[in-house]
Amino acid sequence: MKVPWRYDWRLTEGQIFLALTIVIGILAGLTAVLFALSIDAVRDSFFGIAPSPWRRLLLPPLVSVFTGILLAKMFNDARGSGVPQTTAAYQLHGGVIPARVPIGKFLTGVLCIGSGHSMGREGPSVQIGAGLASWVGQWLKLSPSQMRNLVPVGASAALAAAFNTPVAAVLFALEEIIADMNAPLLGSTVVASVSAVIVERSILGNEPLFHVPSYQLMHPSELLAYAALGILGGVVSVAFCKGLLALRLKFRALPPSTRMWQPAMGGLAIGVILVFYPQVAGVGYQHIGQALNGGLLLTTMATLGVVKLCATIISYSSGNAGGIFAPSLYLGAMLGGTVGMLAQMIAPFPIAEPGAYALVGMGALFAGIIRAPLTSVFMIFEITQDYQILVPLMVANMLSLAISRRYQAEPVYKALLRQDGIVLKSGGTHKASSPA
Amino acid sequence: MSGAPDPPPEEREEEKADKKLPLRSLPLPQREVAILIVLFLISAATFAATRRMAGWSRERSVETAAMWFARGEEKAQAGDLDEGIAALREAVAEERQNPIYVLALSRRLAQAHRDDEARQLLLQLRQSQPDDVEVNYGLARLAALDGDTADAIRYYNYAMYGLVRIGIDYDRRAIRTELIEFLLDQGQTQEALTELEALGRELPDEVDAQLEAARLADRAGDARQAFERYQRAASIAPDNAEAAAGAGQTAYALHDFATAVRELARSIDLNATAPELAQQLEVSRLVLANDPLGPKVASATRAARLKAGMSRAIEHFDACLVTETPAPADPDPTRVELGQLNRSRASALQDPDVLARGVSLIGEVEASVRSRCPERVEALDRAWTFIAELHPSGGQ
Repeated sequence: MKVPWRYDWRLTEGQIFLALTIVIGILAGLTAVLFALSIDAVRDSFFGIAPSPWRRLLLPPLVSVFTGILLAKMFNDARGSGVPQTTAAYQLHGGVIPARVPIGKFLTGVLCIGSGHSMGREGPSVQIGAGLASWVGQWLKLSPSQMRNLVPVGASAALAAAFNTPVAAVLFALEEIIADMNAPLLGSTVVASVSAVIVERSILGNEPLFHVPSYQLMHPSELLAYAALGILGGVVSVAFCKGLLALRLKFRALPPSTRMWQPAMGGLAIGVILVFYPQVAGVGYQHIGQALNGGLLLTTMATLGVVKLCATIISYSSGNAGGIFAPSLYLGAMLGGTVGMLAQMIAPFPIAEPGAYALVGMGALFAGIIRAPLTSVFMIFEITQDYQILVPLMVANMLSLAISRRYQAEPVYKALLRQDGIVLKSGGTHKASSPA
Repeated sequence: MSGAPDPPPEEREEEKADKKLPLRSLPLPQREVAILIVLFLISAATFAATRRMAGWSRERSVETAAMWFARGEEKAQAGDLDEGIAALREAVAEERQNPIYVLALSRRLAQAHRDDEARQLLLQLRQSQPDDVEVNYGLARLAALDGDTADAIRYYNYAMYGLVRIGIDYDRRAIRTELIEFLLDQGQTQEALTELEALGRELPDEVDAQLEAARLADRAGDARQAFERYQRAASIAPDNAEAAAGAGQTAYALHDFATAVRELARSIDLNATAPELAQQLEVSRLVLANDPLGPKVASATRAARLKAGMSRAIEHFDACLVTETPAPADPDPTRVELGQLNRSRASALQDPDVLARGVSLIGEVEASVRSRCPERVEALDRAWTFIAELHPSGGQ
């Protein structure tokens, strides 16, 4: 007779993988939340409520001196966004990410973004989540294919928690990391994303990232205005990508001995910008929210858009740790708001509020810069929980993507990896193997 | 699995490599289970730590928002509206679900004539708190400013019958009063009277409340209700000059001249300063002193009053005609009939029908003078006009 307490606790590999996706989803979600909270805490400690111009000028370069040393001596692979590195880890390195990467990314990301660098927290969250998943896989001594499969699982979970967008996170993992929309990892990424979002919502509450009034298409002709926004979004996306790649190349051309100080050089430029435009510091969600709700004037939005573009290019190119997701949303919101206000002035047909254009602009820039059109549509939908805007969003996204592809053939993440000497094959070459 | 297509060579290679590993080829050892349990425990500990950190972050956020709010209100009260709005925005960004901050920001935005932004904020807040009194009240005021009557009435009604947050000084009567004023401004008198009726039901027995309702009723043209409210206020506070003056003036409008004389005289005694009070008092006294059809008047006195009134009306009319160029070609038939009646004997004037006809003719002549020579109209002329209005059956 079988004794209950002598039950055989051994699990099949499929069960282990399922349990792992849940655990990784939870851990990646928690890390993404911790990362966001830490950035806020550091920002508040550094700047307080109303920082003096001196503080705004000096903090970014001083902090960047410290992070520059960390990045040069200990965490060299924690520079920049983290998304291209994660893609490379999945496609080229069998999913192996050294344990120091998520630790370094967390530390330097918090310091860089918290000290006012114009960068986003989502890209680093993706790398931290993927790194964590890879570390768990290494600890468990998983097979190479399982190990590699855990990377997009961790990445999607972290992104889901960072943006509170589970569907977009799954799509992002498929579009960007795996580069295969038919990947058999769909189920695992969904499980991890849902686990992460449940954890994130249980801690921070079920609030959309932005509160937006319900917008709708006022007149069929309004699609022309959205199309114009899509075209402009494509142009700005190209300008952003080309500017970023060109300046980064210039930094990389400097003598290797300056590599440690390059983040501080960027920090100094950011400090000068923050003296005049503190609104472009850090992630910038607050100002995106204002643009979405019609709380910014035309000239303010146009100016902030231009300054943010320059600030993000400088922060990223100089080798600081931070992503370009949030900056692309910021740029899109400002561009969209500006176009919306101009359309209201000149259009002979009824026009929605500028906030609607800011919303569509976010999607257009995301599609143009990140080159993940499906993710972009679902992300905007999930971030704002506004269904009415989907058609204009798709029109603008399509045009922005087309222009971006035409004038910047190589996606920005691939181009960044190429600058680092890593060449990815075209999408779908490295197929994910089916989880057990 | 039977029937499944063969995996591509690349995957077959991977599977071969996997099979060399114990995890793939052997039944899983308990080590993996143990690691999973450890990972779950780590997750639970991290969850608790993150939750705690989120709590701290939330507390910090609440404090920061409170500081921004205080700064914003301070700046706005000092007249620096732009700075105040910027600070309040920061407060709302920190605590976007705090209705106090959102309401304060929307108020300041409305003050800065940025009505659309203010409305946007309130509409967002309304999505989560559709019954909130203050949110609906704010929206009602914005709609009223825009002259959007339908929305204003709708939101005012939501505000009057909404949910009140604890600690908020809520005054439904004030909201209804504002609604009535808005309706009167929009010329929607009938709706205003309906709301006035509702206001009357919830009116406390206080002087200020009664006076306010009386003023609104007066504006709405409901002199009877206004008179009752003024009288009620006057009975609560006999020394209130406004109540006495209001009662006197509404009694005057209602042609209750005995009451008008009493209340107007009392209001003047109480130092009410409106210039028309003395004039209205004089006219009221003249009405009482000259009305041939007034109560408790002897027949001879009635005839004498009528005679005096007719003589004055003829004299007044003729004096007015002299100034008119060119002079009218035909004599005025009313004037002719009044002249004939004025020549009647005193005993004939005691007949009630004659009295009534006489009063009516005087009223018509006075009306004619008033339109032809308005500068000649005096208190006694007004009094005779009122007397004619008091006895309208005279012309029949």
